[in-house]
Amino acid sequence: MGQSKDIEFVELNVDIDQQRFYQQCLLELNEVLQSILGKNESAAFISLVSVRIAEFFIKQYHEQSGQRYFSVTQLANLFVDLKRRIGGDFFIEEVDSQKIVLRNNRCPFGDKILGNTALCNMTADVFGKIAVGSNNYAAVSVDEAIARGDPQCKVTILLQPEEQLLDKYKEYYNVE
Amino acid sequence: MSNDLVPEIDKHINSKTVLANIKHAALIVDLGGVIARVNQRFAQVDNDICEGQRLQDRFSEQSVFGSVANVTKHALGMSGLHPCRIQSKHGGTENTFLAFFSLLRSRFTHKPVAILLQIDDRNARLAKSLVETQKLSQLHNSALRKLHSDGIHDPLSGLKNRRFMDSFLQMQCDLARRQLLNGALVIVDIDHFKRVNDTFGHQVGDQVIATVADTIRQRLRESDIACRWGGEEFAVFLHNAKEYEAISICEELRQRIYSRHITHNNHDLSVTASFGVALLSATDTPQALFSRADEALYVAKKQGRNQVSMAIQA
Repeated sequence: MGQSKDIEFVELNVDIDQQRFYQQCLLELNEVLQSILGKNESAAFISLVSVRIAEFFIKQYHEQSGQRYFSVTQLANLFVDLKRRIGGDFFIEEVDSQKIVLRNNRCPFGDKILGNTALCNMTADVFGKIAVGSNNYAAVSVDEAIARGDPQCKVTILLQPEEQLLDKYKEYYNVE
Repeated sequence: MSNDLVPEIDKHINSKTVLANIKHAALIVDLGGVIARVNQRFAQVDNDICEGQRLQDRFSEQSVFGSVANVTKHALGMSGLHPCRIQSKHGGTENTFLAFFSLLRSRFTHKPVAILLQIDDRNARLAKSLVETQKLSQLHNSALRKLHSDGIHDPLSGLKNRRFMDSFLQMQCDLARRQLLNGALVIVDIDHFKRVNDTFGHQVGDQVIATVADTIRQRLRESDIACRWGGEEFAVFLHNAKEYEAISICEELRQRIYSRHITHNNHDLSVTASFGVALLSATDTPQALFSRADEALYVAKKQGRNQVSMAIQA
């Protein structure tokens, strides 16, 4: 009967805390969905989740601001605020009646996101669904992504339909 | 059933080509919910489906959307592929399918013209295979559990075996060093067991061991651990037991063992047992703890058997 070694678990430098736990749950869930269902099918599920999260967010902003619709500038500021609240570091690069361009220095999904661009679509869906609530139309593209290895994320939100829309854009319509 | 929708939709999209490129069961439904075109593979999902029928008459939506109409509404709201779960209204409750839908837009006007619904029958097969795998896995786990259980139990007494108690005592000693932990190790030895074996045979001897084990098992609390240490000897670990409680439990056990009778050839046979008790201390090793309990047992035997003896505290 040998004696086991005492380990001070609290002093171990393991990379686990509540935020990391939630991030890892999401990353693992996404990977499992991708490997079992396929990338497109998995993206469809994640997108459905994003839409529901977007509805949750927009309800909060409606209730707290007392406003049902937001101007383009307000939308841009709302996106920055939303991302700040969930751990991103977004800022406005460009705003006009045609589009909003945002950049981001820190991914809310953490540094383990590298190589996993599927979750970037969540940002596109959330921005798109929130934007159409006030603007009736939106098309969103994640042009650059920290997850792809870019130094920053760049997200473009078109607010008017374009004749020759590039495939990279995902479109959103207000059907209420 | 004739279908006037196809020519209208085909002004905007080539529905035949769209379906030809899909490996799974798929159909195209117009924005009013009428089925415009179905591919051949769909017959595997619904034999009676045909163009011109209303989709909601054949299927209901079983997930977050709640209705076929809401599926259409969601598709109109954003581009891309969306999942849903549909259930055939004609094939029983087991006929539910994971499906994906997307909006089809006019090649010319870019306006929405129809919904493409694909039944992921590959995933339906996968789901079936997962259920089968899960069943196999449960069987496997059950076999593993039995193997594990066999590995830590003594087959005659049904109590834990010595190997289990070895590692258990090690764990208790480790824990006792880190936190205040009350506990007692008891060695129980059936008195004059050799005489039972010699007089009545090994079969009766086994019966005695099983009866004493059963008596111990009945009296112990859920948190206590009992094992057959070997031969006619048992080791019991009493959790959270101080001296008084340990002695009290052992005294009760001693009396219960004495009161149990084993019938053999119309004769009642009863046995007694001796108890050696040692309280766990923070500096204990399993060997030291066992050694004290064993010394106490020796004292109990020496003083006449059928009694409980407490070891001197470490």
